[in-house]
Amino acid sequence: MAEAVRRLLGLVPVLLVGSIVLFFLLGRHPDVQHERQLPLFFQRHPVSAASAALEAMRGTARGDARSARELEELGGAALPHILPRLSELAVKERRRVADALEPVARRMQIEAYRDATPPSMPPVSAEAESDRRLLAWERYYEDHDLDFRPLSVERLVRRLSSRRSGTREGDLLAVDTYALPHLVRALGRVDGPDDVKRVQRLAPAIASLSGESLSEPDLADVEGARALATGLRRDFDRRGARFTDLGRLESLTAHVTQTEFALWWVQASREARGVDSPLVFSNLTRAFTRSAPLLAAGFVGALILGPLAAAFLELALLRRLGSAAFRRTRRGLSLTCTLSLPLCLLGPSSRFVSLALVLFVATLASASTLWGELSRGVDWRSSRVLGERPLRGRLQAIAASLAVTLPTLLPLISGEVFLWVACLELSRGGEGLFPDALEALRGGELHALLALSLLSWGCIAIVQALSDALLPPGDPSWGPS
Amino acid sequence: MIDTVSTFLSGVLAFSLAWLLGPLLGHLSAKRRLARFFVGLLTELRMLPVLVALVPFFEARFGLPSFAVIGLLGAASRTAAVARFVATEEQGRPPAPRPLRLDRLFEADQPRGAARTALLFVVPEVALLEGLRIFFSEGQGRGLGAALARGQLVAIVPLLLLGWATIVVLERGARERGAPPEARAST
Repeated sequence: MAEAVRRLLGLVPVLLVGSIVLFFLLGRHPDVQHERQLPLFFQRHPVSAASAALEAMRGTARGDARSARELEELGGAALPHILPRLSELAVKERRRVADALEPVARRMQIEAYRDATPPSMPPVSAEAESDRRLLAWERYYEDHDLDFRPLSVERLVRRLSSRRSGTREGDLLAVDTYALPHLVRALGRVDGPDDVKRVQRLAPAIASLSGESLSEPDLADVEGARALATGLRRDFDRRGARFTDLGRLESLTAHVTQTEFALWWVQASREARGVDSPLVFSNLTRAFTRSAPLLAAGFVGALILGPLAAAFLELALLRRLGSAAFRRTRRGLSLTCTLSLPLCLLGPSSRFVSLALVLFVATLASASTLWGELSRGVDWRSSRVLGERPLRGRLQAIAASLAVTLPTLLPLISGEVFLWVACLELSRGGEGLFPDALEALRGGELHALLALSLLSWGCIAIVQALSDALLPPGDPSWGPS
Repeated sequence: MIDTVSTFLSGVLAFSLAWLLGPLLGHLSAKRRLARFFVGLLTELRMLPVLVALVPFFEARFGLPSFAVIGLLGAASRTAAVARFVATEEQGRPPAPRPLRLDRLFEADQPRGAARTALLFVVPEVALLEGLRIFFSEGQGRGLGAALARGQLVAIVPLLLLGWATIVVLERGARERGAPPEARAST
């Protein structure tokens, strides 16, 4: 038992390493690779608000339309990084940046600063209009420099999350997307009505800043609010780095944290802690529930009917070991296995036929293996001696041998059952663990694939450790003595 | 056109590797913790049918033909099965009189009992893996299993022949030891 406990404890590092290997392999699948937005394990060039803003500013200054769009999307998060550096650019380049920031200016409603522009500069040309915009931004930043500080935004978001008011939302306009990381962090855990109200106050602001639309029924109850918060958080996990200022240490860890693997860890741990809605877990549970009858039929066949059939065959043919009838039965059983196992690929139309088929093949495979093992320890002499024993004695000998063989077989047959069920489900179409895995693969959902794989892996490892603990230490073979 | 050769080659690869490595790993795993860990790992990998989805990746990455990847997956599965049964058998035996040596590991190491029966499933398992592969790679795939998955029932015939060949190979040698004198005389 101590060995089993040791192995169960050892399972943690094995699964950890296994998850890395599986992540690497599954991440290399063309369908998954196509959907991937981040590198798998190492981010060579971590993104931060500063790096994204400066890159977009330089591109915009050169006249690159894509960079201008990027600058518009970055909005307020880019301002503390580009406005103090505008003076480094040539006048023409500055004007381009000011033009690109115009949609942001409209969103942040900074017309008041433009109106304050001296009338000595009438907008007679495009250049003059750009200069007015530039001047407005300079004035704006002089006024709001202190607003673009984490502490002040944190306080603002805390006030907004505790009570809604037009003034606070107006304050939020002044910093625009700079507040996005703080807003997402403030969503927090959704467990009760107060949390629902908080999400109701924060979600519209987050959605409008990140350019998404919200549907009202999402915010009706705890589950809905949690699902909404989960969606916003997950979206921010992928796209939020460019709105976030990173410290020196954070910039260093971003090489690892801005990867698919780290994202999987973060989202899986949030899901496990109940912070996020259990999306992957609930999908897995639903799929498992659909596959459960087939899996159960497989295990009933392998662990109950198979041993019974093997015991029956052993009893019936014990005294005829090596005879033609014995050989014919063994060959017949083996050939039936060879014939019936691939039938799982034919995709039976009815669920009942699928259940019967998996029950049949599991019984056959288990009976064949167990009978092979029962016959192993018996030569023709011992078979005759055993054959002379009363039925009870023979049954006891068979049971003693099965007690050793069944725990050995259990983890192996579990893998077989999974394979048969996979073939049956995929050939039939429909729903279940494996069609869902296939869908996840086609959709490039690496997290769902990894969850399914690790769950199966963990289950079989536990079964293996426990079944090994059941093995008696003595000689497993059974003989006449 | 049904590709029997691919299944045959995969089967031969899986069978040979499991026949050679299974008992060796079984012996080692009865005595060495690392080998036991490795056999455990192989057993656990059998629970990941989604790995079949990676066959095209392995083909492309390592330049391996499809039959080799399927054969290696089958070999891993069968080796685990053989090794586990051999290890269980080995655990009950008294310790070896001499230290463990590689040449002794191969001595009289034909798999017996359930380990031998596990090898009988090489052909159906290869077929199942071939079939599974085509589901995970948009209908791409070769072999008898792939043909069956596409609904070509005629693939059962070569599959049965391959299964029969496996049985004949496995029965040679085993028959003489288990049979009574009169049965041996009659054969």
